[in-house]
Amino acid sequence: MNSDIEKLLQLPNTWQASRGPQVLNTHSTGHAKLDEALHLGGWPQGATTELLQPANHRCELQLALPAIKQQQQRATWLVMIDPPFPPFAPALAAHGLDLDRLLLLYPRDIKELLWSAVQCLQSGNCSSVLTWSQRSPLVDKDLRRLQQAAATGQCWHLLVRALQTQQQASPSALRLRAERQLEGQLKLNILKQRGGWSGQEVELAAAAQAHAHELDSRPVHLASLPSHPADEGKFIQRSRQHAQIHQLYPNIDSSSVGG
Amino acid sequence: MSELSQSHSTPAPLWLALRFPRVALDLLNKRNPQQALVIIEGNRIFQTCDQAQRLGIQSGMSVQTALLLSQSDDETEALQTETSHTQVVHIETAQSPSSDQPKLLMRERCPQQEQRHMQQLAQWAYQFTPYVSHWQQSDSLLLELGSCLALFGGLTQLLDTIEQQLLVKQLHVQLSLAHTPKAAWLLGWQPHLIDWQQRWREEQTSANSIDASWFEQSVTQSLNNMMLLQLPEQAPFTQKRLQQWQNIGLKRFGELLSLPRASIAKRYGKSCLKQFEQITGSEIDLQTYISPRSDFFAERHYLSGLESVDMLEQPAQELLIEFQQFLRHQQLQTEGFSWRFFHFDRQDSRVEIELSSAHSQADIFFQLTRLQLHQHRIDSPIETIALHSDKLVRAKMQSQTLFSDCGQQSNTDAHLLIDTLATRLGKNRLYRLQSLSDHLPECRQGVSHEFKNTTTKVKELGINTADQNLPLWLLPNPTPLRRSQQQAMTLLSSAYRIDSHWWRQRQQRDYFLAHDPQGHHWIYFDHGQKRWFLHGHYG
Repeated sequence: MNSDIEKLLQLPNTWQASRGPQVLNTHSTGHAKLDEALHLGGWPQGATTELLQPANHRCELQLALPAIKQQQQRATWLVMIDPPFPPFAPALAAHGLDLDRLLLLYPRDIKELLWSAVQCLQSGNCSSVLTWSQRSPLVDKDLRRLQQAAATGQCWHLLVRALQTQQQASPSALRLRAERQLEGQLKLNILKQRGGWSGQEVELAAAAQAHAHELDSRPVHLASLPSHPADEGKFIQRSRQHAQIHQLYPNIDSSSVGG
Repeated sequence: MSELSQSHSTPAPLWLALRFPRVALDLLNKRNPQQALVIIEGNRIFQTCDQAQRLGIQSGMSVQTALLLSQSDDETEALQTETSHTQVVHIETAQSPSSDQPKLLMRERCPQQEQRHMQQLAQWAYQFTPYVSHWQQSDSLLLELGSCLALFGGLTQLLDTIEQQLLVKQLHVQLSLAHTPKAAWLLGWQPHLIDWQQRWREEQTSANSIDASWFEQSVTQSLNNMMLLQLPEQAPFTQKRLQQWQNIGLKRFGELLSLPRASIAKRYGKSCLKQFEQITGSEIDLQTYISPRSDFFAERHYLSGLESVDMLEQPAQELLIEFQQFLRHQQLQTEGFSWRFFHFDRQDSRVEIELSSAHSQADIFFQLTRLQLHQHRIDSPIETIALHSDKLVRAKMQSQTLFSDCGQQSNTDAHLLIDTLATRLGKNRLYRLQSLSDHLPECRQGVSHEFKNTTTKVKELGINTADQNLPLWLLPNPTPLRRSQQQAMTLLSSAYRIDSHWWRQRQQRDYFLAHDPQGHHWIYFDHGQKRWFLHGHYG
């Protein structure tokens, strides 16, 4: 009897419920160089990843987008809590995010921020949660709570914080520091990795590539193209003198008129 | 032939009369069960509870007598009360100096509250049988059970269930059975006549009909033994009529029935004869049955008032369980409900809870209620809690996958997360984005606060290459560039011109991808204002 059952179980088309879905502990970041540098080979699932960046640099979405896109079918919601600007829907859709799954939350203060992050993380219905707490400081106890909630719900948590918090000790599983270089590349510094070495530096190419929009023809009734923003002073001076001419003959290039 | 007719015949009528003699008292919940409570109407006592009866207070007494009786106890010495006996206020208490609890609580009678309570009870009784009617305008319900025996597995089961649920509600009730509604109600007033019903009931365990002929015989016998003098003052017979019968020497109902029909009609009128015939079952007694309500309303009254949120949790839970039972019996689901609190100073406050998906689970309702109540401030003690919901929809059964692919803890519904967040943060701080079709970037996205139609199915998403050059972050209002910022920008692409909205305010913009030490940005030159603006960030 036993051998019959065993033979059945050996068949390739028998599936056992006890095998269950595999719980992944990491998922790939989407950037090959970063995957190599990380000890786990990807973002840690079920834990917090901290990203420290200067106040006016925007690095997080470029970094996280491939991973979010890959993971989004895993659960119902993808949550962004208190982003500094509203994300641009057509751009997100063009990159492959499902807008129906994206949820934006704007809590009023730090307590509500923590509470909503914990609720989303531990519910198990969110594939990824991105939290921005650059304006409000978090203490060690809060960070532990967030990490615990992420572990309960097996959710990836990306926490974006200000650069000044680098000195603060944190229980997060992975800490990265991101900065934009002069040419637009993204320089990442691994500050802390659970189970691995820290100190690696990775450089990623700039996200936005220059694109050329060639104008096939210039419509006659439109104004001419503006000059470079650095020459704007000259532009304004000229336009005051020749505003009348400009209006009567709009297709005359302003630079061709004397001045 | 006779067998066929037997199987297709209607079941024998079996009426249950539920009389609630103390509905006005039972409405109110006392904090201390030892306190005496009386209901007053005008200047007279209307109903008394057991503790008050022990003090010697009877219904029909005047209020002053009752107060004197409550005060003249062995424990009291000198009277030092300050209550004035000249006017009856809403709640008047008589303090006994030995204890600090008021001895006697008085309450004005409120007929509307009683009526509402009777209507709620009728809706509760609807779960047992569709044939529920009120006995005129009083405190009794009539249920026709003959056709429902098969569903409940026998008369014993059915009556046990009814009694159990009434016990949980803590109501004084008198049950009586008969084959006509009027007979059932009349028999309830003289319970010693229907002792046999208790024993007979326990024998009726079969699911099919009862032994109708034997039952009818026994009921007729009890009716015949009914004492005329002990008939209630309410309908169907007036006091004058009862006095007339007593004068001609009739003591029992059976003697009345044995009078010839023609002379009853001649002496006491055709309507009196009709009453007799309806009681005995010779004529049909048509009742107006209630129809189920399309909304839910339940309330609880508290004499001493509820002051804090913790005290509200217990009654809230009971009301929500009642709500869930109502929804399940009627196969409905709700999309939202509201709590109303009525305070002692005639103020009322409301707490509304909306759900993003319709369901009928009381524990989720309670979670959301508790979340909302903690943010709610209670200014004065609450006398009545009411739960009301009219957003009821037909129940939709949803199918779920047997083995979920997500992490192990995804047992909460996706909508529960939305509801919890919306309850705490407020509905307008939580939204989804929508992609709209327009030329101007700021018009290309809209927000949506509705979460009702989320699908969790896997979707095939097309990648739109033309839009991949758009920035990921868009500023809500484009900011003009300062001179210093302009100096630092280097343009990386050629112009992308948008000329639109000529019908409102013409927008002529040339968009460029620009770069400065902080990253890549999306700037444009506005021909209308002749200025450079920053509109978005990349990354």
